[in-house]
Amino acid sequence: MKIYGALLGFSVAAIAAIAGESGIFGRAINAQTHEPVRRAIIKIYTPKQQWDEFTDGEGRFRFPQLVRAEYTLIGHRDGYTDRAYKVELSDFDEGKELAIELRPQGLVTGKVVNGSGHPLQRARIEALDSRNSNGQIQAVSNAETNDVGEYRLSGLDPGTYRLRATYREGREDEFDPTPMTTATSYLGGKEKPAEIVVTSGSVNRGIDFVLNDVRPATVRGTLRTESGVVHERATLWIASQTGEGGHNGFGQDGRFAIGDVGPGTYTISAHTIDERTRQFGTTSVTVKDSDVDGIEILLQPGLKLEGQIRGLTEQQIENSKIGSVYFNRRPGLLNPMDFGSAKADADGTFAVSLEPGEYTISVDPRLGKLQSGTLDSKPIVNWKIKMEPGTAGKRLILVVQPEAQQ
Amino acid sequence: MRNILAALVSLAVAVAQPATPVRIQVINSLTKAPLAGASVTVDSAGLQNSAKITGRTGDNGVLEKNSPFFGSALITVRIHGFRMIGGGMMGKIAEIQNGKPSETTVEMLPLGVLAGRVLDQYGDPVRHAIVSTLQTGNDAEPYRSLFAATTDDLGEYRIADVEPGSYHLAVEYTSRDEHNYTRQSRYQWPEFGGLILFPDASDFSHAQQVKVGSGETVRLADGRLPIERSVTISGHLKPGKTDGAMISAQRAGPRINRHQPGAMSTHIAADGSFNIEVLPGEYTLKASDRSGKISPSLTVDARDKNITGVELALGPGYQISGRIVVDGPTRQDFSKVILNFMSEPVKIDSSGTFHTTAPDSKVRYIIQGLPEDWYVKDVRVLGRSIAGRNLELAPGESDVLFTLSPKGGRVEIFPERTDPGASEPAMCALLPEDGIVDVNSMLAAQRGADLSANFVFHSVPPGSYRVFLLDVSNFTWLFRPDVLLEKYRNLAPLIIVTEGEQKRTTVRLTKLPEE
Repeated sequence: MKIYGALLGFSVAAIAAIAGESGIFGRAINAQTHEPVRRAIIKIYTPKQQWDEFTDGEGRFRFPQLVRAEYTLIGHRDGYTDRAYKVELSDFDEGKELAIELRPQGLVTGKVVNGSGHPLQRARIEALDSRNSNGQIQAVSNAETNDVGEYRLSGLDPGTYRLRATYREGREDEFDPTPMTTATSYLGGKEKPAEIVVTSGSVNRGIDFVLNDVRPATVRGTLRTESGVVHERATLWIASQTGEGGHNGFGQDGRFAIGDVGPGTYTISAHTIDERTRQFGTTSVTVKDSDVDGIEILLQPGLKLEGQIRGLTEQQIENSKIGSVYFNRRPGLLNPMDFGSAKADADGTFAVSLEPGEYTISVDPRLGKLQSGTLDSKPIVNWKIKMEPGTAGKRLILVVQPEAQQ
Repeated sequence: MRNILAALVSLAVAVAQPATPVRIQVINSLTKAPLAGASVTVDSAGLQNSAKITGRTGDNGVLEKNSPFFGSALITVRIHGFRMIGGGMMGKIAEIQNGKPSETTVEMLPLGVLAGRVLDQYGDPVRHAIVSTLQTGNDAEPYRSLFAATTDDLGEYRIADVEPGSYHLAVEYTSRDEHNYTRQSRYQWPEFGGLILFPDASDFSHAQQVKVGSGETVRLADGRLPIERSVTISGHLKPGKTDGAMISAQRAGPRINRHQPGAMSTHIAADGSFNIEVLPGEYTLKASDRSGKISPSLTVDARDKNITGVELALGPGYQISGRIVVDGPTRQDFSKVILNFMSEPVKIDSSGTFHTTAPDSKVRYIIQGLPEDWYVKDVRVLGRSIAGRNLELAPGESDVLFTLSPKGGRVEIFPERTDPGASEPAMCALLPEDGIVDVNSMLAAQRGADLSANFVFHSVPPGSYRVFLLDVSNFTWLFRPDVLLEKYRNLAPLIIVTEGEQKRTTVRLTKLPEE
């Protein structure tokens, strides 16, 4: 058996030989203490099939019926890092007990108090991974403080993390008149957060936070175009540059208000509702400890895209609900401003106004499956289209295979 | 509900003179020691008027501010580990006099902490198990879970802010919830988990109650939670081909799970086969399709191994063939009446005839859109009159007859005038003296936005009622009218309403004892 990943190529030694056994069997152990790892799941799989077994009270597992072949084996247990091995033919021949060494994950512990030194209960501590491909920071593990303000943040694979603590108090339920206050703090400060190095089995103790909660602010302002006030309803989204604190707001008659905004610097995106004539605008705002008024967002027309869905009957097109065709600028993210939709008419034609950018296209699954598509007569690759400023209206043709014919 | 709170606010708010100092002292009710850092809200009781003082107590447990208003005020204090006493459910009513200093002491009862550890069958800590207190609830929810904590990597938990008393504890874990705490694994893993009652029981007769006193931290013995992998229940639905059929599996026994309702459901494949993954236990299976057909329930014991070959057959389900009639000669177009049985509104023709499918044998009806002063006089299922709004249907078709009467009573309650500055009524409720008392049978009215002094009830069915006139510190009692009536029946005057009667009566504010 070989270990996948960085240690690929190291053969695992047989621990014990048990005569007369078929299939494979083994034992999961803690790579550091060599104690058995109980209740671990051992998964064996091929591209087509998979089998799972749990380790017993001695960390042992067994796949007695497994046909002699090559497989991938993964060991998994909470508190340990997943580990992959390659099962080789010789692992069957020799009747050996396979040793699955699982490395314990790291741990961070500490305390959260307020400015007066009182412990904060139910503060949330998150370990943040480095930014993903979309530039967003991801929380990989979280924990809450108990009534004495203590937390234990477990489940951390070896790596470098930033730590963030957040706290919210008040407005516990709809009848709670206590005003809401919030606080967020990064270990080492928001401008230059400290990085915590976690190694296998490491324990970082005494990582304490002091949080001073403040009442969140409301950001208010106006929406306008070059020609004047926007009367149409608008949707707004406020989020920090790294996507944190994202939540929405609404605008009407040229005015908007977004509540529950903690201190920080944010981008506010806005667009009008009608998908065909949608106008877009953004601005940035810095919130300290009080409401911010007088923010102005200038909306500008989006890039026009017209198109047609082909291959469907009128009745089939009516099956689509919110939209028939979806345009997603950054799939996987929650920011609704990166998402557009167009509802097709009975003859399959649609129109949409989009911001510049690269979009992934999909259709409502109720309609069927996208079969082919062209943008200005050129085939679409990987269902991606680019909308660039300065170009005239584009034409998108999508051929859909109805659900029933698939 | 926030709208209700906003709407029921009716206390007159007057702008106070510049210097109307308000001093709130917050103390521990047992030790009488001042409590620092408590969040205090002194509310004119009006969200509409939103005159409010907020702040935190200092090291001396005191918050001092000038009030922007005077009159009756609701004081609310929050601090972890304590709850207010000496007031109503919502807070304490106090009087702020214009230009005069006012001082109020708020006593806070220290709450308890239940601490312990959860270990698995091998003695290893169980991380991310949820430990929650169980209290006796009502028929719909026999056990209510109010306080809970999650275990850490050592299996340790601390349930804080626990109301003093005795509790059973539910201890549960499911790997399905792991994504709430850590990044999801790249691989798919079988579900595993477990559910016990403290310390290691599978039913209440073997479970241990734990007791916690005010301000006490109780360290409990280890809870033993065997962690088992899920099992699969598979089988076929007859007839073979299905259209949008679903199967549900409900864990048998009391519903004590906190984060999991103990119910799973999944689609049945077009060829009628199904496969459902559940944590070990006894389950009740039921299948249904889009047309309303339902299979009889089947109980399977899925504890030790996968269950295969389960067969379910769709039956006629629960069809309702109904009619709405009027008691008396009045004619009525019923097409505007809104009626539903825990599902989509039923289509009713102008003559009052309707036909629908119920999702279960036990359903509750809701009827709206009746003309003013009309009420539901009688409901009969298969010829038998029912009390309340719960119907029990037989498999197949059930005849349901609603009889409406245009002769509901009209009751006007006038609050007895009180001294200036005294607490004002915010909400009035008529609770039936007999029969089922719940939020559906209760009649409630709130003060009008125009601050009119009386409370008006339309469509009052004939009967005897207790009249509760509650101030803003106590109106949340109306979420538990059964308990309110049971505890404080004698504090509320009794009125009798006859058919079509127009009754006017004066009632004094219901003075509920401080909790």
